[in-house]
Amino acid sequence: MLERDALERFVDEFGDHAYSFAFSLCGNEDDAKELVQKAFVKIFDKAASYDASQSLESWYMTVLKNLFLDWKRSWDRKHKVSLDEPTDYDGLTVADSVPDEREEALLDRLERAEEVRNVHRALSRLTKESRAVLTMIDVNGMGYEDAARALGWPLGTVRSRVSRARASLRTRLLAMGVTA
Amino acid sequence: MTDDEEKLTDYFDGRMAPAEKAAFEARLAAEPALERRLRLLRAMRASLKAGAPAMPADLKASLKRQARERASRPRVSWLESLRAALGPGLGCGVGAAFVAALLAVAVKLALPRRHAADPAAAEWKDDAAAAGLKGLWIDDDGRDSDEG
Repeated sequence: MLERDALERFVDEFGDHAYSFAFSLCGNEDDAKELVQKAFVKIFDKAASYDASQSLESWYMTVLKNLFLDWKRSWDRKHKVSLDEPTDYDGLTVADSVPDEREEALLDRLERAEEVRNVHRALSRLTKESRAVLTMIDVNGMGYEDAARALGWPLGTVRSRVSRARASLRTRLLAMGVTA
Repeated sequence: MTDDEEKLTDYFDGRMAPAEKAAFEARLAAEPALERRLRLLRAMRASLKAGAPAMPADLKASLKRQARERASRPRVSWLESLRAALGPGLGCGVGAAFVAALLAVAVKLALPRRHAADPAAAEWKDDAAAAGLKGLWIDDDGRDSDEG
């Protein structure tokens, strides 16, 4: 059970993480706001049954992820989108043959903070699983265990998906550098 | 490189055992391409954090207000909510009907159970079940050597 002030404190401390996670899933402000709002209201309603042995953050993320999946299913039905979206693969191979100079140039741009917008644009083009795991681990700093609990994946799957998602992000950034 | 990608992930996320970590650091010192990939991971994470959108202030304020309201609202049981929704007169009527229904279920459970109306039909069902079980064991000669 959550204490009286805990809900408000949770919104205050965790709101930005929740929003960035929702934004990375939905890709736009309006849907992200609605999703975050719904997830918080659900948490408020179920606060009395909260099990304190569980991390509040991973509980919230589970609720938000499930709401997102419901929303996505109904959106896909409405827009007749195929459900055969790749689940954990972004359709790109790790570009082992990328010349060193291209990676060096990308690193240079990243280290000079010139690529922030492109990094987020590249993130938005990954699969929903890749976006979710990268936002949890790299943006929000969640541990593998909490991410695994929230996403409902085994620990080994979190490890392999985060690794693949980072490789896909890098490959997309390299491709964007070529076309930019 | 996929294996190296996962090793980089383990190293970057601090999930390597000390001995493995030392060996990997030796490789990083010797392989500039691997070390560059590690720096790319750091730089991508920094960019992801830097550009992460913050929760809009109006949404945060609204959620905090809702949290305060929920916290101050007294908890009401579903029965009380139903009674309040139905009003005093109707609430009592529904309550009486509910108690009557509970009594009827209790009486039904207390009475001894009777067999199916048609005993022959019940027997046929038992035979069918027995035949099914027999069929399961028809090839079994009782030895264990043909099992598994």
